[in-house]
Amino acid sequence: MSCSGESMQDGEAAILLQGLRRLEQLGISKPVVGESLSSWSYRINLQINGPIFDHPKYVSDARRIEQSDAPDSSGIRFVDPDGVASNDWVDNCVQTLGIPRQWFECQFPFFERPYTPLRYRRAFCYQCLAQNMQATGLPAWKSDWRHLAQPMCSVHAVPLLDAPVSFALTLDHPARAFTWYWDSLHAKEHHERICNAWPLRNAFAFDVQRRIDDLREKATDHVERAQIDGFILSLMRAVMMPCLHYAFPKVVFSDWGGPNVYRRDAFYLNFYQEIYRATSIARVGALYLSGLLLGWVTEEEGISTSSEELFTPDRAWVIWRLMEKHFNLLTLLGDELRRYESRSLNISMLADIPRCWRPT
Amino acid sequence: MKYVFAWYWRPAFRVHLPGEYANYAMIVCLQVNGVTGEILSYSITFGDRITNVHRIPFVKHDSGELFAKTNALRMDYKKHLFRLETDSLRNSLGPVRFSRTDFNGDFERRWLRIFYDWQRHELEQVADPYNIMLGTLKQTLECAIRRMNSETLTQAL
Repeated sequence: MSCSGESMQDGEAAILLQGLRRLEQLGISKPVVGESLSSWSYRINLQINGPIFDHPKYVSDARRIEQSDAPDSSGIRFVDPDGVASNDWVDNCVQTLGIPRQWFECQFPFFERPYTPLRYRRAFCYQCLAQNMQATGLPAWKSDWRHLAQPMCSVHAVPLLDAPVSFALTLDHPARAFTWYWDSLHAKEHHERICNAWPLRNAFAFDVQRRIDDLREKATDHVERAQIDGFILSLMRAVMMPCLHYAFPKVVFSDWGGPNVYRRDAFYLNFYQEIYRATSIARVGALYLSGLLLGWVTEEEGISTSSEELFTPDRAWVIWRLMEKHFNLLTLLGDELRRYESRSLNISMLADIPRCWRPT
Repeated sequence: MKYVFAWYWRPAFRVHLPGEYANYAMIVCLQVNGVTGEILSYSITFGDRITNVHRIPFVKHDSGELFAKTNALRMDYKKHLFRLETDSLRNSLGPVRFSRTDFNGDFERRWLRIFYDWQRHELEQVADPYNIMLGTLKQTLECAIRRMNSETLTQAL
């Protein structure tokens, strides 16, 4: 078992090396560690004199999903510029440049974890952008920033900053985000406010984020990894419901994606969809609160953060009691969690399990 | 004898028709096989006729004794006013007091969960979940129905 895994890894490394050599021969700059496909394609297209391929025209408008009167499942095709499989220009690149297709698949694996839809692809770490700017002359976008459960930069341990939603669908979004940071009047201030709103709780949230990564690494197969992701995502969704909004700092709501305000009766929409357009600092807060629910942030640690915002719950039972008041939330969360239970993460591991979930 | 039930559902989002500036609320009707629980088909109705029910104005004015008997015969609309709430599945659209089947909370919860959790399955990208386009609505419905049916099938097995 482990032997085959190692040989797989060796094979991948060989493919990666082969691809990089080919890039060197062609004089094309290689992707930065963790760079997304769209970002790299935009960069190299700028560097080459006569562009080898047209700019990938993926989405002019994400609303325009193909429509037909007789819909069938095969007709649903949404081209994500960060996915290798859905982009036709990759095939052209394989044929004209002679870069092996496997290299693309190894270098730019498609998201295995729950990720932000393209329309809200806007969270970025400014320091990472600046470092790439120094190294390569162009900012590079990392694909990790689209993971929902990774709202903090894993290198610099700061909460990600949200660029305006209107950049999300553009081809040059890394460059736009970089210039926006310097041009806009409030971007830098906003970034500072985000970092300083909840310094201690941010640190705990980062702990939770790393702990999730550890759990995923220990998991035996991709099914268990998906279970873990689903479990965490459900907790985050529940904690971000309107009844718990008072627990978040005010900064969280300042740049919420999309113009539509919350509707009180859109319970399921709130639960399932709001996490995608929420700011990344909101997801940081959600991670902290789900850390409380999981017992990963202990009571003492929770109480020690009370100087940051007195009314934020610092113990798990406070959150559970609130959810018990909104009973349909507790029911829905229970359904979801039971669906994603696995060996490494299940309901019995939650702190102060609500009374109705306790085994009798 | 075959039983086919209709479940009426008003989604929480609006549908945006191309070329128009307005958004529409709609009612989705799911035809369900009562024996197996399989969803057979669906239909979408725009415009909410339930909320358009008003009292007939002259009833208010003709409250004299002459019309007392007529008024007594007339149906009291207020009693039968029926509002289809968002995200709750109802058995009929008419002013029916008693439904033939019990209210199926389990079916409702399963359906809503399966429908709204778009990203987990086939349809990954819905641009704006609050205003979606008709084609997208159809696609989401088809996907959700397919998922729901496969789930009921596995449950039955």
